Amino acid sequence: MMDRVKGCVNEKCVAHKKKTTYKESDDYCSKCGDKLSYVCKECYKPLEDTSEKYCVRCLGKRQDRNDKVMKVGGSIGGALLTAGTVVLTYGKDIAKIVSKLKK
Amino acid sequence: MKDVVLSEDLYMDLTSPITEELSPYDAAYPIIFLSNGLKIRLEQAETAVKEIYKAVAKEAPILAQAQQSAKKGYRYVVDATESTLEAIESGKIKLTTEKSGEMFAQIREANGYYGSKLPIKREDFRKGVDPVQMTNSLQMKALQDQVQTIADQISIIDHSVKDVLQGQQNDRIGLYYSGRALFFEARNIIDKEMKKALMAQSLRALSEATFQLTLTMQSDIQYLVNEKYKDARGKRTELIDSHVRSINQSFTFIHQATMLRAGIYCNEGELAAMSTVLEEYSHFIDGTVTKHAALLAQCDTSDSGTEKGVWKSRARLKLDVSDFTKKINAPEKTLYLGVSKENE
Repeated sequence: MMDRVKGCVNEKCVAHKKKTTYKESDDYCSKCGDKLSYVCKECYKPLEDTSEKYCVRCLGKRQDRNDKVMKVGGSIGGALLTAGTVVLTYGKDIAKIVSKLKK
Repeated sequence: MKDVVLSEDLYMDLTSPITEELSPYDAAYPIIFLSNGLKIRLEQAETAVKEIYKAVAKEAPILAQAQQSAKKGYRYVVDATESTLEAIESGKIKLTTEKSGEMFAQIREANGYYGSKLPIKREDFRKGVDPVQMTNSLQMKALQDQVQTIADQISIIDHSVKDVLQGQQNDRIGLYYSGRALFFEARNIIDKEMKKALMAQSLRALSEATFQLTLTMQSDIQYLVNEKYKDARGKRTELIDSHVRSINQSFTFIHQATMLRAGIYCNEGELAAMSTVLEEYSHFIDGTVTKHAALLAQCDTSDSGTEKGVWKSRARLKLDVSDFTKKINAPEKTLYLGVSKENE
């Protein structure tokens, strides 16, 4: 899987404190020389399962965010659909009223 | 409940003097109680070692002389052999005490009369030493380094559980408080039988609290393992956090109850029972925490996820306790004391 990141898990290292991320191809920390581990892209926690990009909690948080976006999107879509139906049903009458008002 | 602030580097140093007893309602009470118990046992072990040294030195005059000669040049030692002791028993040698309290030995002569008095000094080198207690103490002394390691590991865990203690309530936690209250009451009871009965009830309540909370904790962990939170759209984080809070709460009270139980046994001189409690705790850590430490570290926002993080530190407790328990519960405990035999 692409987009995974590595990090230094040596708590005394500057790279760990600054949460510096490394590419997958990097094996050792450029600051302290310790072996790098796969870390969560968001919170920098070390990952046991090297196929994951995010830790359990951050993955849940991202999914929650997506759910909320979908929900908001759904509501907006629903509102637009309702408005569209109204326009189609009463379109002619609305146009007549608008033209009368302009005169 | 009074909040206790502990510094990052606070370890249970068993060589330090006994800590002044805290308020029983203090969050640090169980660990301080256990720590003081261990210090008392180690002090007793130190005394036992000295007693044994004295006994061996007394019964092996050559060794004693060799040791003394290095310090003071020389000294004379009167060695009472088994036949001398028998002669005292049979009346051939009489021990008399004068009004001043000074003791003399008188040997019965051929005519049946006792001869001149020889001043002697009595030294009771085995006075007040119970061989079983001494063996246990020695075992404790031999394992001092391991006891210290266990104490250090417990301190790390203890440090991480303190802030969860505030304002927690449920029926299982109620059992812990009940056990603790019974223990405090038992400490102030004069009647020995009643004290024992109440102490037993206290231990039972603490044990029940531990096992009920263990089940709660296991079920919460299983929820996270099975990813049941995934079904709740938009509420996953909330559900993960609430289960982690519950797990932390259960762990905190399991730890407190275990420390109190171990402390009670240690202060009562029941070292084998104390080691069994610690072994159970170690099994619990091994079966419940270690297996899922990585997952718990990922779910817990207070954990750094590294080896020094909360859950991985907790998971490491298992190693030394099992080794310690094996040694303290070893069936063969042999106490070797030299006994001087008459040269024939």
